[in-house]
Amino acid sequence: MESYREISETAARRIDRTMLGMSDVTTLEELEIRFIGETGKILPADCLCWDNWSLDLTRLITFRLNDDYNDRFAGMLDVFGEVVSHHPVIKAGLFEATSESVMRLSDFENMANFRGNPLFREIYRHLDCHYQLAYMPITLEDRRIALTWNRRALDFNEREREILHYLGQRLGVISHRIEENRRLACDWQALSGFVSVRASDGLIDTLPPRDARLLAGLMKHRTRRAIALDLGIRSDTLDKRLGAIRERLGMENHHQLLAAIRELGNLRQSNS
Amino acid sequence: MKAAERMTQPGGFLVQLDDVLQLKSARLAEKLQAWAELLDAVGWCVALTPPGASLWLSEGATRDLQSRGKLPVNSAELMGILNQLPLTARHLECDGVQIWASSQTEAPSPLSTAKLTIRETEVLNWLRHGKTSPEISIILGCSTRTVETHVNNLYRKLGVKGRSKIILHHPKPRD
Repeated sequence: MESYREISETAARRIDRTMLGMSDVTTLEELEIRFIGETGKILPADCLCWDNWSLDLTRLITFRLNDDYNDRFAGMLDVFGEVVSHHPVIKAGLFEATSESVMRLSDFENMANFRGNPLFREIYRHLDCHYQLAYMPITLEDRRIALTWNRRALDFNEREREILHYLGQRLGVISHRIEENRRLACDWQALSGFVSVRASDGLIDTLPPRDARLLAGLMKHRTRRAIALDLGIRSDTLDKRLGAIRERLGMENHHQLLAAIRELGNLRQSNS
Repeated sequence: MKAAERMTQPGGFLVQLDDVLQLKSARLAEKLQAWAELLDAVGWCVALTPPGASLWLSEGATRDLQSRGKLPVNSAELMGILNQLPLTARHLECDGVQIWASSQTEAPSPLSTAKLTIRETEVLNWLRHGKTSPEISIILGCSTRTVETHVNNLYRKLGVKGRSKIILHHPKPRD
């Protein structure tokens, strides 16, 4: 499904625009809300679900659908978790494969069978949806995100499969970066906590990365010329920068600055 | 441009979208790296595992792990090695950052062995605060020349030359 023969360029561009608009989202939860809200406009009148699974598919973390359906589904998360194994795609052991291509429910089970399925009896009865497309855009560290597009009376065609794939791929890119960002932010939090118990307040916020590099060079007794070369600046610019750092930290002279930075390594025996 | 082409084309929309998104994490990653280097420079062993990249060890960490025998290639191996360290040496452990104290006991600084007079200790203390000789002379109520004599004696006793060296090599002991 690598070439999208059925989607018009206008439709593709519209999806692109929408997804680009979501690039400023910072958490998965926010993305979830935005995605359902925005794509509801692209695929109106059908129920689009965002399923946020735990990695082993035993638990549904969040579940969200377009506004019209939200009320009908309130409080069904637990039930969903219990009956999810009856989902035809998961039962067929093909859930992993949905990350490569969009799967159509009616290819696995016909409508009559699906009605007898506990999943339908418990869940989809409330949505009144009998046809479904399933696609898993991404597997993250502790969760998988799957999209399903449900419809009441009409089965899906090739074009709709392509649209969901197209949407999902972009969603995968975004959520991958969000996850990455979250992990980095978490690491950064830990590191700045580590620094702030060992240094005066605000040291970590007042030193941009380049200045931290500069000071690291100084502490390693490298020559100013070598440090300046590394940072790509002239050595008198380096002196100027050092002056600016001192100013910002409220130090009177270079020795105070060195002492303050030395403090960072000093507390190594703080526990003993 | 057909939608089909959009997908396969290099520099197409997916790449463009990804570029926009990765800016933020690139900035964070740079900050992390820079601070890791700074912490390394003041004597910690730091290891970073940025998401989607391989393990990065600071110079001190590489030296420390080499002295233990082997260099880990991924963070799982590193955790295996770190788990054998005493808890007091492990200072920070989370998913992507590990900070621990080097095992090599530093050469006992001459500070502990050198016999300093009371006055010299006071001068040393103020030197660490970055005070200049005239300032110290005012604080201690003696002349600048006397302070300089003390400082010269300190240089001799501690075996260093230069005030910044004193600060770098003889950090203030914890109280």
